[in-house]
Amino acid sequence: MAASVRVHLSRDNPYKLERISPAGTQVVVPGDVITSDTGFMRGHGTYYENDKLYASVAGSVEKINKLICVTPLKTRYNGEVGDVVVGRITSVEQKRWRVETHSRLDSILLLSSVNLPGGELRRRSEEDERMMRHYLQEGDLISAEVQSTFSDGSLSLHTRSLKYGKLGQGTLVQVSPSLIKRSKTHFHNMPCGASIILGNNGYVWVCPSINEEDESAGGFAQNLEKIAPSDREVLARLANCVKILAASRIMLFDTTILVAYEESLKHEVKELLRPDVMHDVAQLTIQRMEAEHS
Amino acid sequence: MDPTLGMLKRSDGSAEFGMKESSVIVSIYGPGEFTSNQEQPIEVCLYGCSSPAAISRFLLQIIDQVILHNQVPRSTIRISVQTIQEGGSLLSTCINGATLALMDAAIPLRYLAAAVTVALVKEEIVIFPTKAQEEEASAVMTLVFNNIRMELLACECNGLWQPAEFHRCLDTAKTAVSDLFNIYREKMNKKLSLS
Repeated sequence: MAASVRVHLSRDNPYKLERISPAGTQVVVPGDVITSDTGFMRGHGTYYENDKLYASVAGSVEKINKLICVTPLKTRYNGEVGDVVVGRITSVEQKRWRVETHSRLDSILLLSSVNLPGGELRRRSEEDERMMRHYLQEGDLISAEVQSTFSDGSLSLHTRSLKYGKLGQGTLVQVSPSLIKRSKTHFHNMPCGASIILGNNGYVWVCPSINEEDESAGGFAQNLEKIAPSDREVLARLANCVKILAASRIMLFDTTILVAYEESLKHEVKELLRPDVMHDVAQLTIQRMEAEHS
Repeated sequence: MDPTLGMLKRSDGSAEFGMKESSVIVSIYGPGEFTSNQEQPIEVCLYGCSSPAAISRFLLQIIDQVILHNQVPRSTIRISVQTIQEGGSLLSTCINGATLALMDAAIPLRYLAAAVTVALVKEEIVIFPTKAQEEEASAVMTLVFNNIRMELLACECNGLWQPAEFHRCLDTAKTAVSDLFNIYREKMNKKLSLS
C-alpha cells in the first residue's frame, strides 16, 4: 500500500498572516534605555542602573499603568501565585514530589499540599511517606495551582481541590507560556465534547469531557476506560487546532480555540498540520476574532 | 551575511551566523536546574573547530559579563557552538552567534555584545579577514563592543602594530559593529512584528 510523504523545511514559510497589529508597540533589544523616569515600577525583562531603566531581553515593551515590562517572544514560565499549571512528576523525594513545569527551576509539590484519598485531614505520617509512590509516580501528569514561590524563584504547588490532581487519558500540547491568556478559569468544557486545561506554563491538556458527578477519590484515580473513536477524533482535532494557533502566535483562550475548531471542520484531522491548511485556519480565526472585536 | 534566529525548535534559543568564510550554529539551553555536580553555572561547548579551548575560554568570559546574573540565580545556561565552516574570523563569528542565540532565548542580558576581527595587511585594514588574509597580516585583532555607548568589552590581539594603527583599527571596528547592531535590531523588529 503506497503512502504519501510530504517534506517541509522550517526555513520555507511562504505564508504570511495579515493581522491588524496594535499601533505604537515599542520593540527593544537588551541594553536599550526604556525610560529615565524613576516613577515606574520595573517588571519582567528590565533592570535598573544609574537611575535609568534598561531592557534585559529583546521584545515589546508593555506599560500597564505604572508597571513596565518587556515580553520576549518565547520564555520559560515565570510563576505567579494562583496560576494553574500542568506538570510532570520527575522524581519522588522525602515528603515531596519534584514537578517539571517548563520554568527556570523545577517546581515542588509538598506531601502536605495534596489531598489524601478519602479526604482525611490529619498529619502526614511515616506510612504516608512510604505510600507516596502509590499516589504519584515519575512520569505522571498533574494539574495543580501555584501556592507560593520560594526565595530562589521556584514554585510551590498544591492540589488541594477536587478539580486538580492526576490527569488520566488525553493529549498534552506544549506551547510558549506567553501565548496563554490570563483569565478567571483555565478549565473549559468545550461544546464539541472535550475538555481543555490551559496551564499558565504553556502546557495545554486536552481530554474527554469531565463529568462533575464523577469526582470521588480526590483526584488520584485515573479513568482508564476505552475512549470511542469519534471522541478520539475530537481530541485530535482540538489538539491540532491548539498547535495551529501556537504556530501562528495567536493568544490561546477558549474563544480562539473554539473559533479555530469550527474553521477546521472542513478539513480532515490528519491534514490539519499541513502548512497551507494551518495558514488557512489561522487566517480565518484572525479574521473572525477581529470582526467580533470591531 | 543574514543571521537566522530560532531555527532549532527543541532548544530555548538558537541562531546561525556566518561571515565570509566562517559560519556557526549556536544553540542555548536554559535557564535550567543547577545540579550540585556542575562546577560552573554557564557552560560553553564547541564542536567542529580546530582550537576549541582558546575560543571557549574567551567566549565564556564575554558571556559572563553580558548575562544579568542576579535575574537568573541558581540556574544553568548551556551554550553549544557548532562550527559549520571554519575560515578566518572564527572567534568573532562565535561571539556574534552566541549573542544572537542569547537574545533568541530571552535570557536577561545587560547589553548586546558584537565582535569584529580586524587585520592589518600591508598597512591596509581588512574587516573580517579570510584565513589567507589572516596569515598574511602583520596583526590580527578581535574587538568586542557593547551597544551602550559603544564601550570596548574585550580585545584579543596577535602580532605587531603601532599605537596609531591600533586606534585606526578601533575606529574601523566601531563602524562595523554599529552596522551589526542595526542588523540585530532589524532582525528582532521583523521577528516581533511578524505573525
